[in-house]
Amino acid sequence: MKKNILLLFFLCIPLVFAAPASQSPGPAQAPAATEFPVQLLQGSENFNLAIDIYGDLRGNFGPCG
Amino acid sequence: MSYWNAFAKKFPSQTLLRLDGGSIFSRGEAASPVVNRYMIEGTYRSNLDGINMSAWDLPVWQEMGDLAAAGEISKEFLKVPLVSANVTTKLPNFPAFQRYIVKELKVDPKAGKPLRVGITGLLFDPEERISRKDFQVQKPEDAARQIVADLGGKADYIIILTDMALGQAISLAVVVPGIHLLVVAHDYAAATDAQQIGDSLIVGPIHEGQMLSEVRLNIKSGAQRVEIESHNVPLNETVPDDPALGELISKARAEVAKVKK
Repeated sequence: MKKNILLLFFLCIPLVFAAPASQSPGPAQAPAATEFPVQLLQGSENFNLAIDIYGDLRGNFGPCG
Repeated sequence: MSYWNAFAKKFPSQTLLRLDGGSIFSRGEAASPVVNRYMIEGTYRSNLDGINMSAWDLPVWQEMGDLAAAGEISKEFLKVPLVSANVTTKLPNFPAFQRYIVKELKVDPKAGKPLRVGITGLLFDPEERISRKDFQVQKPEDAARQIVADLGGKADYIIILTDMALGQAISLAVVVPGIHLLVVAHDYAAATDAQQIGDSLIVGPIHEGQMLSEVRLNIKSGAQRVEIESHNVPLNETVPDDPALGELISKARAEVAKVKK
């Protein structure tokens, strides 16, 4: 039993330290959006006061833009 | 900002209030002073209707006040609608803030008179990390009770912005009736549905500006009859920047990159 566990351990070592076959180029940079996605304005149209709330930005520029 | 521009275009006759629950600034990083100079300018240029002074932000507001007094940042940027119902200070350079703001909004033409919306904030500092030498901080529950009483004849709809956790906000809504909207700007990474607890609708925006929480109200006869709908608006890369603020953000990112080199 002990021998089997040790064998499994040594067999796994190359898997842990193996280098990736090829380096990923990383996520492609998405082009900057130009048109406002109007579906974001969906919701009840039967209103007379809207309150938009955000908070806890902690230095992230977020909705400033 | 671009969301608000699009909103105004689609709903030109509806009134929109823009509120910030606080914890705007960055802290504890090498780039924080640079980031915060841009955060204050962006916040100023966002034309908000109310900003809560949170425990996280308070030392940075103090720093901003000192920088403005030294001529390092524009004093104009400190002219923001900062509110707190439970903090007072005698620090000479600390930015001006109000106990509450009352906005008169024409939301229901049939009502004949405007809706008076009272906006205030509650700083939450249970571990007393804020220096009691420089600041007096009243217990949020006591301050909430007092402010609701004070706004009784002055506001039809009361909004409290706070950095307390959701559990504490629920307790506050239970023990202090008369708060119509309670905004919980705690460090939450996931969206939560708005919930009605007694008189109060509790809304928690998602941290780091990933989503905007929007509440749409159909108010009739003062605030006696209110229909409510709320939803979250994801602010991701599909939303284009407002040109002016986008330029400010690019400038900020370039300067932050220099600091991080």
